[in-house]
Amino acid sequence: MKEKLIVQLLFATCFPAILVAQTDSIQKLEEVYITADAQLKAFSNSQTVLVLTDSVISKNQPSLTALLNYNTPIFFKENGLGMVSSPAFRGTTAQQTAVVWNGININSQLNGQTDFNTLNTSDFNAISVRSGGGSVIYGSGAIGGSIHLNNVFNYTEGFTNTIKSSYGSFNTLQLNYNGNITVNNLSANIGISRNSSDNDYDYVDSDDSNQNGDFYNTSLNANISYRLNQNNLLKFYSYIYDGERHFSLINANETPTKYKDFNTRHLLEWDAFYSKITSKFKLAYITEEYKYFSNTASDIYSYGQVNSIIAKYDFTYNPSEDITINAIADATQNKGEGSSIVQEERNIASFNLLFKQQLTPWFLYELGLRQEITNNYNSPFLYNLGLQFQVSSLYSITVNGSKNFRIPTFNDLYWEDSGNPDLKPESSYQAEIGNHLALKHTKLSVTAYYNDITDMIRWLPNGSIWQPSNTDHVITYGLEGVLNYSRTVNDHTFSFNSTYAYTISENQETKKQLTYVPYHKATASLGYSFKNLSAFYQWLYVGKVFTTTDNLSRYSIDDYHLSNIGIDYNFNTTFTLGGKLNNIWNTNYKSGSNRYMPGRNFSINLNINI
Amino acid sequence: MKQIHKFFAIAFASAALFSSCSEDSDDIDIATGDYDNGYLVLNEGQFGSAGTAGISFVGEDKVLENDVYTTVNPTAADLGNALQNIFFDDDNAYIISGTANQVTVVDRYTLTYKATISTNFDNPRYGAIADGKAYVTNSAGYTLGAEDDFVTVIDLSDYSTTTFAMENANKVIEEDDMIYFANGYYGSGNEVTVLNPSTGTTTVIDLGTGNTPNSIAEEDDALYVLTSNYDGTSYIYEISTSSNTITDTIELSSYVSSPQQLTIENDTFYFTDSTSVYAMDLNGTTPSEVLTYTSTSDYGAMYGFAVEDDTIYIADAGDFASAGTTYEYSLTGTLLNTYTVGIAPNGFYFND
Repeated sequence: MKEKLIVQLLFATCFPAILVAQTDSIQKLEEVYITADAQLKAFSNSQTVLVLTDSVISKNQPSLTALLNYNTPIFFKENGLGMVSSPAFRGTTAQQTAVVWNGININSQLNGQTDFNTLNTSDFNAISVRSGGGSVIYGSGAIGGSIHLNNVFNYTEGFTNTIKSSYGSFNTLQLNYNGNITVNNLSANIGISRNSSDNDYDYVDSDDSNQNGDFYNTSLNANISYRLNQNNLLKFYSYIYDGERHFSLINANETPTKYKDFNTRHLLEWDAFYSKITSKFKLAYITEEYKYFSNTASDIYSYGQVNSIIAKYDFTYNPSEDITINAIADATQNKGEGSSIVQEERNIASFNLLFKQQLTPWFLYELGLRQEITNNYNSPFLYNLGLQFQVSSLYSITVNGSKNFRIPTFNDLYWEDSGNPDLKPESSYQAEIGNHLALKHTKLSVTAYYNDITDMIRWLPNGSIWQPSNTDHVITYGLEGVLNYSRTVNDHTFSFNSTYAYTISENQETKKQLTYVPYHKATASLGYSFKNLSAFYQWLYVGKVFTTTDNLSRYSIDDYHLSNIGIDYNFNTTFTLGGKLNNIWNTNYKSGSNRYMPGRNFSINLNINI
Repeated sequence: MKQIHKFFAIAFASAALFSSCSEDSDDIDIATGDYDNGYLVLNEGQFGSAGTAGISFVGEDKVLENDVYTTVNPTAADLGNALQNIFFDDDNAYIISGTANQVTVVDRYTLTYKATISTNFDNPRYGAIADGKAYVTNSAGYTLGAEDDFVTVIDLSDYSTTTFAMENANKVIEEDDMIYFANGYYGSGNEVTVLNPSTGTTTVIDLGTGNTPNSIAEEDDALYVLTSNYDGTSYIYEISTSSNTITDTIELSSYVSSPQQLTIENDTFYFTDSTSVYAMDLNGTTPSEVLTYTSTSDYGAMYGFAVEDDTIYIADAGDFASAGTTYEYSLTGTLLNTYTVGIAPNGFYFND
């Protein structure tokens, strides 16, 4: 594991004296140094966490949609390539998937979801997907699961620079610079990314093409860690994203529209750690802003913006090697306004208590409680309980049950003339059981889950306006499978990763499958490397999805499967040249109603490491 | 969003020559048969989800056929989404798509695709034809008070278009080669504009502050405009088409709360209020309830409405994301037939 290596390097370079320390403190230091999202590792024993490594991240297009679509069971609905992208995780809605940046939930306060085409994967070096309920730790929206975008510090002494560049079909240009410096007590990295595309692909088997779909975005991230002394560490994370997309047309004569996103995220963290105690104080400032131009020819736009301040105190106590107690207090203030929202302020306080004990070598349990306090709605008491049974050295069983929620958004509550101040949070009771097999070269996990979601918020037309209400009751259940295989024979390395999801997501009133939730989704990727050469093959299958709530077959979107291939060659330690061919069978497919996606397309890439 | 205009029903019903015409149009042979004896239901489609709008047809045999446009024209240009209105001349039907900014021209009896008109539209709403030209209203940016609303004039000989500005241009009908615009939109506007196509001159009739027209109909050289005011009052104004002046005012406020969708059939006014249908003699002053139907839809009840001959037609849009329902009732309120049509049905058009 890369993290292990980093820890060892960290010890070797900075703290040789601690090398003899016990494994529990190594574990603790790992949490402290490596990530701002310690709970992802410490309190996810009874759930599945899929870690997407650097090599997986670099094989995919830089949008978070592409990465997760090809490597996880999550389904995405995209309004054309690069346009608004909404996930369905375990059959839930886009607002029921939490995106967590360095431990901070960054779902929009305005619409409750993250647009997965407004995050560049090249800005993060550790991306994980945690399946199932996580509201106790991560708050609103962690119902289907959560996506964790982390910046991990590298403690290898030195100065490294990486430039990644790629050019491909539809005048698509991707540039990324990453610089990393580690000296004495300081580790810093900065990254700059720029992506742009004309995105004017021809539809397959049609004379039409994707019109008004061009986009660009620029992002900047800077992360600094400074060790004050033996027991104190300061960390600062900063991420700025600026993007503009023209929204693809469905009909050539539609009024063309465009959308601008400007998001900033800053986190200052002070960690103090002692033999049995870790104390972290975090202060985050998050801003989001959108501007929507309903006619690109006009300067008139509508907008919304929310600025959030989050103060968090996170206290961990390890009374013994086998017990972890973690208490977190959080105060969040959101201030928002927009064209249709008069200035509103929302204050939320929350308290968490997390407990984990390795009771016997074969049995572990973890417990979490959370209560939020706010004037805006009645916040339910949340809890979870997880069990892990190590049946043998190869096989373990996990059981997890939790209550989770999604709070009403600014739009839901405050939209001019439409907002409904009486909304309740959506709530979810869920349970899952996982089977995990770890052989020498192969890892397999199969999880069955059940999720009962009530008071789901839906916007419906009410005369000339649309209004949200707590209407729907949905039960989702299904199976999730993850298979990893990796083997090296002489200089030949093979890897195979696959996921599969079977999903039922049923509205309890109509007994119909939710729209845009496929019954089946599968992914597979095959990697091969030999000396300086590496190659991969990717495969994706998405089953039929319904677009209407009564599941009319005449408006459903057909299933499809896609394949991509790629090859990279390292000329030396500095230069790597590669190429990718996407959708090699030139499949005509849609990921939204009448939203045609590109046929066969290519890119070439050059990476430079100095 | 839309509300259909009965006017077309009346226009077609009165144009008896169409029934003979329809025989002539049978020379285009299609397996699904023709669409000349029965009515069309316009389904506006799911908001934000393209490809789900379309036209349903119910024939004289009371058999329903959905998505008839794509059945007849499997490879023709898409109708677009947010289908708003259909207007007709002798040969053609003109189908307005609000989001696609286009009008699709089809043969009115076979529905065979002829052309797509796509210039000079911005959120088109309703259309009417006089003297070889079609007049289509556009709400443009939907911004109240932005004064960006306009009318697209289509020369039907070559489908070329021009525009002229008109604030709150919304419902529009033709009568005796004159075009009547109801200038009302979500509580804005309180006028009727009369356009003489041959001279290009317009006459504006003021309905009084706050009296926003929501529907318009004609009968016997008179125009009838149903208004709703934000102060809770509602009226039917009678306007003489010879003098363009208000000749009578009927207050409805003491009988109904929010009357909509005025239509005239058999010398009787029909209009809707929530899930009820009311009737009132053309010379009367007191409406009576004909029927109330039960809708499971929170907001899509009575989304389309028409009265033709001895039948009342009601469209229910359900949750706007699944197939809607249409009902046929007798004039005494007896349910005759129920159909599961397309998504968000908003209007009935009669092809007899």
